[in-house]
Amino acid sequence: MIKKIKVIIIIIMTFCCVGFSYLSLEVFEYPSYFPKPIYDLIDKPLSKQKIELGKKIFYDPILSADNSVSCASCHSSYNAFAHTDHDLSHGINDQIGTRNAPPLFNLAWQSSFMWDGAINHLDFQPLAPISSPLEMGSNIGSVVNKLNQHPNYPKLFYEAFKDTVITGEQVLIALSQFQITLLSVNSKYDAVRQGFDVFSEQEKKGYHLFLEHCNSCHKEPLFFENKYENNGLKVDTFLNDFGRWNITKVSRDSLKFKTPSLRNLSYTKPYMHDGRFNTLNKVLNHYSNEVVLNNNLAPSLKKGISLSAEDKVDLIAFLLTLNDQKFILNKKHKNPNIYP
Amino acid sequence: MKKHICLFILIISAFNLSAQVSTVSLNFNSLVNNKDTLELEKRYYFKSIQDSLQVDVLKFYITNIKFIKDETILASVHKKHFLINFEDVLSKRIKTQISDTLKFNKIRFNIGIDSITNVSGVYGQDLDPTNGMYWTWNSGYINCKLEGSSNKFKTRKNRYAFHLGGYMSPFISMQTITLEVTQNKEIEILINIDDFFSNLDVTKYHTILSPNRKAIVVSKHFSTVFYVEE
Repeated sequence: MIKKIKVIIIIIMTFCCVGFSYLSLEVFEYPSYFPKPIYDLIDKPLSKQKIELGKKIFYDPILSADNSVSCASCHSSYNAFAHTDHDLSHGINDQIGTRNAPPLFNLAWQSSFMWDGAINHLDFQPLAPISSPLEMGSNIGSVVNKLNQHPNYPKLFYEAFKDTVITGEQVLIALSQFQITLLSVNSKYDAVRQGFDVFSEQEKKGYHLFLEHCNSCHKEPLFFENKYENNGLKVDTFLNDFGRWNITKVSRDSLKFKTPSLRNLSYTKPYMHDGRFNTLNKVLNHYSNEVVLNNNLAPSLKKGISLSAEDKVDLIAFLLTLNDQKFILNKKHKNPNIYP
Repeated sequence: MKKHICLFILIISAFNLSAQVSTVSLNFNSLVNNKDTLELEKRYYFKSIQDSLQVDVLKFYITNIKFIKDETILASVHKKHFLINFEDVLSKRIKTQISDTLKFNKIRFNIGIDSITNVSGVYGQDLDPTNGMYWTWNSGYINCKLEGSSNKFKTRKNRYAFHLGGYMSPFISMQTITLEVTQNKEIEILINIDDFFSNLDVTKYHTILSPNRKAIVVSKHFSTVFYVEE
């Protein structure tokens, strides 16, 4: 009797494990040289229904006060979920925000969000744009009310969460689940790391320059670190954005911003927290010639970065190997109304 | 096999016989001038401040409730977080079961949400961000919301608003308090609004909407006005 039960339990457990790893493999497969994700996928395991639901909400302007702006309005899949050619984010009634919309990928490795790290967990990130009067101008309570009254959502939420009503927690978990599946792991750099491809001579030179000058803040293989640095940008006297200082009010954090990933740079211009540079050349010119010296400056920038014109070309050649075309063309991430 | 099952049932029923449990209820309320039960959005004359004052919003988190005998923790409430909202009568009463053998003479709880919960992502029920107790522009729970008006406050429309929170050093606003109790059934926990306002420098403290030094001062002050009615 007991033996039989044991066997049944083992069989059930094996099925569960296989089920979990099957889903993980399908939607959350990352290279072996990546570190362990920060987002707790054991506590909140991915589910197909939740991911699909999160995607539907991500593309739905129902999140905004006047049903005009969705997450995808400023985070377009074609731009690695950034907003090409827009220096600052947009909102309802054609309002302009104060920061550049960052790209969205490899978010399970990110421990804080926003250029100043104001948000401490992926789950809570959507609350900021939903509530900002310059972005969606709504609030999570009214979003939940709208969803509960919607002809389709209550059924989809029930299928995903098996609860009688839609709650704020469910909306945020669904959005997290979709965003976690936005993995960018198929660049040429990744193919080289896995032995399927090789760098050209120029890319190789660029890679060495990268290791020498950039890797201390934009650490491979993710090409970002969960840290804030002051990179010597001149203060925009209209925005007067002091970055991390806005949150901590500690003077050593003045003008520090989160170090962004260098993956997918071709799709995510313009660059910097206020989108002030529209080409990679301008970015490299800043680092080699225009850094404003100050007490909080990132240590690696203190002695200056000297790059010849040829170095810059080589470095850019390497940076372009971090583009992941497969990621931006992936139909699984696109608007489910167009790609069901 | 059968023998085992019988023994199991015997043990279970033995436990049921010996372990009598009863309900402990923590009832949160506030009295005006030590006699009238505070109602929201109602103007009262407060003797202590010699002026009229009204409370429009009073919401706070009570978390990690523990029952204590002298200095020994006897039991803690399984559900960790309770949002007490004076607008919602049911939320003002926390009920839990406790074994009759555990005679406690103190209760201890936190006013506010601890740092670990603050950084662990979204939760539901009392912690759901739809409760309006979460900051959207800078992550973190609002431990306490107290809003209203009084001519004492020289602000726009004589309004005061305390949104107290913050989980990161040096602005950690959660407070732990211990209250002595004389019985273990219906525990009336009162918030002395008279004391809160009469011992507050209203020229300095009137509008707090983010984690900062003032929020810590007022959080500490708020925790001192809780008492148990004998």
